[in-house]
Amino acid sequence: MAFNDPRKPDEPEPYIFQLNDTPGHISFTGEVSRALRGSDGAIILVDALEGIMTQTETNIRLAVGEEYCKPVLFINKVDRLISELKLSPKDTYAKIDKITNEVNELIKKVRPDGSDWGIDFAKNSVAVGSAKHGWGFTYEILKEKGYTPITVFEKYTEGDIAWLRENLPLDEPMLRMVVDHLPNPIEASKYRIQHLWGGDMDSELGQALAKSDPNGPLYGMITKLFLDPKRNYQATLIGRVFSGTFDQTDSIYLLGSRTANRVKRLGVMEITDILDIPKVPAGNLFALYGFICPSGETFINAQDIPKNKDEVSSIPSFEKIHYACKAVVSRSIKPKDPHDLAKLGEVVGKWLQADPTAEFRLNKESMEYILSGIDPLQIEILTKRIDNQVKIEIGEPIIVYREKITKKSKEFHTKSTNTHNRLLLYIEPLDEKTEELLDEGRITDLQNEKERAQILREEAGWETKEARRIVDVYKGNLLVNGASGLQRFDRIKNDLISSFRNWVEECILAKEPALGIKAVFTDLVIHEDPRHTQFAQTASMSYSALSLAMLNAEPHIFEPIQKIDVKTPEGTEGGVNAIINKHRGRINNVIPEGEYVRVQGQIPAAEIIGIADEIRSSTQGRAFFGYEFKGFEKVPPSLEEEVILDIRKRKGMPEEMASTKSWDRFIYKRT
Amino acid sequence: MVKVKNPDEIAKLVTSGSYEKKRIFSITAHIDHGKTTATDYLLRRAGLMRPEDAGQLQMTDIDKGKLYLL
Repeated sequence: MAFNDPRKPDEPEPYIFQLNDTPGHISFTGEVSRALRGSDGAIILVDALEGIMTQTETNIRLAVGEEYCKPVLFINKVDRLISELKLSPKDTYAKIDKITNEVNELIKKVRPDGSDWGIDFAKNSVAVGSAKHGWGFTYEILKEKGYTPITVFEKYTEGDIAWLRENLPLDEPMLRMVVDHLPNPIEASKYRIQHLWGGDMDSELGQALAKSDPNGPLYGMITKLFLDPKRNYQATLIGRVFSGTFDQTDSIYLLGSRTANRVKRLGVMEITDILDIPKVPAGNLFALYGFICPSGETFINAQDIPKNKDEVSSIPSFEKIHYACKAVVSRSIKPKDPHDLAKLGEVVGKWLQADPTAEFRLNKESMEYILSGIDPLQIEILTKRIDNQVKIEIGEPIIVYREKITKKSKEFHTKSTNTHNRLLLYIEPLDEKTEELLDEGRITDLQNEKERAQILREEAGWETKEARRIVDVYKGNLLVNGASGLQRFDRIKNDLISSFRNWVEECILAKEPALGIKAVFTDLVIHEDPRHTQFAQTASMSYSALSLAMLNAEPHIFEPIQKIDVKTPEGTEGGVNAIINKHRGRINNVIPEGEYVRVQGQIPAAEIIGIADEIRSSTQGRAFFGYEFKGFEKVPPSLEEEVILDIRKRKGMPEEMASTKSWDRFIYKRT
Repeated sequence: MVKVKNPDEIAKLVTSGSYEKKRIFSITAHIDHGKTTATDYLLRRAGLMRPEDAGQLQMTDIDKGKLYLL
């Protein structure tokens, strides 16, 4: 979008704005994070009547805290304060002040180091108005035109919307705030890159990134991917060039999926179409067709790939984006026509590249795909999109639990089916700090060993030796080689990792995923004849050792918990509290806010389906409601067995608790 | 006055080495706080949307074929 200078419209060089679109609902918080990664600033928009809501807080945390986007504030729907709440001019402006102060407090919380990132009506980094009616202003605009806040108030109460729209058009304050307070790409790169990028700032690439240098090595990121139904679901990729110049003829190399790709069309997005531009320099967004990849990928020019393969994994990528959520709800989907199974896999795969916060896998027994996401709405939208391409049957939403352990197990010695191979292994719970590093994606299976060991040593107190012997990192669990002098380990390493991953994916209490487990093998005897060491043989050995250790380590089932935040009219909070309590929830805070009361607490995700309707009917639809993933908590002991047996029943497993008898026969006994 | 809708002009601005007047940003909001409506006014100012459509139709209406460029 190009604009003339708001104050000097005759200046020959216009302003150019590139806008990263962000969805408002929590279901798409992954998309929000990536859009912010590609942005230097953010307009935070707040409804004057509802005030700060869950997503406002999350967005400020993500934008200002995580992604270093400089904020300005637009307080929208100010007309509702006057028409619905019947506030006096004084109270209306007091309310605006209050929102401004609250936003500033949230900013300060995530950016405390004496920055000048706060917002201020007097400094024109706050605008107020009504988008619906098309008017808005900053302090400077009012003063320039010789109006006062009271003028606006009077015009509104007289119902003279046309006057407001004509004299205080909404685009003016937005344009000025962006121009005056948000940084240009060069200014922003000076401080953003060092926080968002994992590499050495003194390297050639580091320096080019910090300068957003169009002559540096090509380096960029894919921030969004969308599939356009009108173009036969062809993928359009949106991203940003952070260094170098992206040339349409370049073959680009993706650091995550480790593939080189050709570009068919390159340009910038103008609403719905790509405007072709064969060369896009650093400090710009771009749009392209030609290939598909997961949104969030970092890329370089394929020509810059180091010759030595090992060095590829040491090319620093952008720090992994911290998504504010986890896959906790799933639904099964299967094609109406069984012949479409492969096509369905392809279609689902494509959609999930656009939204990596969702996951799917094939259940081989039932030949259904299990689609997991962060809340029921996200799954519903995804299934609708999929159904447009392949007709599917959709199962009921199901909560995804986790299986965790509470103490260290003893060592278990197991043998393969043919008794020629042996494994000695124990498991223990990961410490909180390591779990956090895994959760943030700072420890992954793709990074190189040295880098991983360094983080674990410095931040989670691991011993160097052990930290360098991690064999696999999988969905919040670690597999560690604690043995020394192993022979022929490389031969079965990949099989061992596959067994570990299968076991994590469908653990033993109820085939729910394992979480927070460190599995350490301390001895491994591998037969010298490769015919005796095949996967079919060794899988039982690995699987039984892990399972026996699990049962010995006091395993429990953990359920996803959501934070909830309800804003309800004064006097109705009693009903809201009762509903939360009835659904195994907990209330942490009750804060009076004028005519509203804010109730904050937490509730198991299993109880959240349907709760919105109950709250709506108890408050005559006048409450506002938001929720966000908090974490996993142990299912209460009184319910645990019932929950486990229910899941097992649903999955067609024996309706009894897991016991050692399934694996006893693989225990190795010295003779 | 610069013709802001002119594709050549946009291409020139993107490829120019001048960054002083470039801004890359997001608009974020809680659901239903009015983000799309507000964004429309910027599109209108940039000449990418008919004035009478701003605040009335939303970008999501593109799918339904309701949005017309000037």
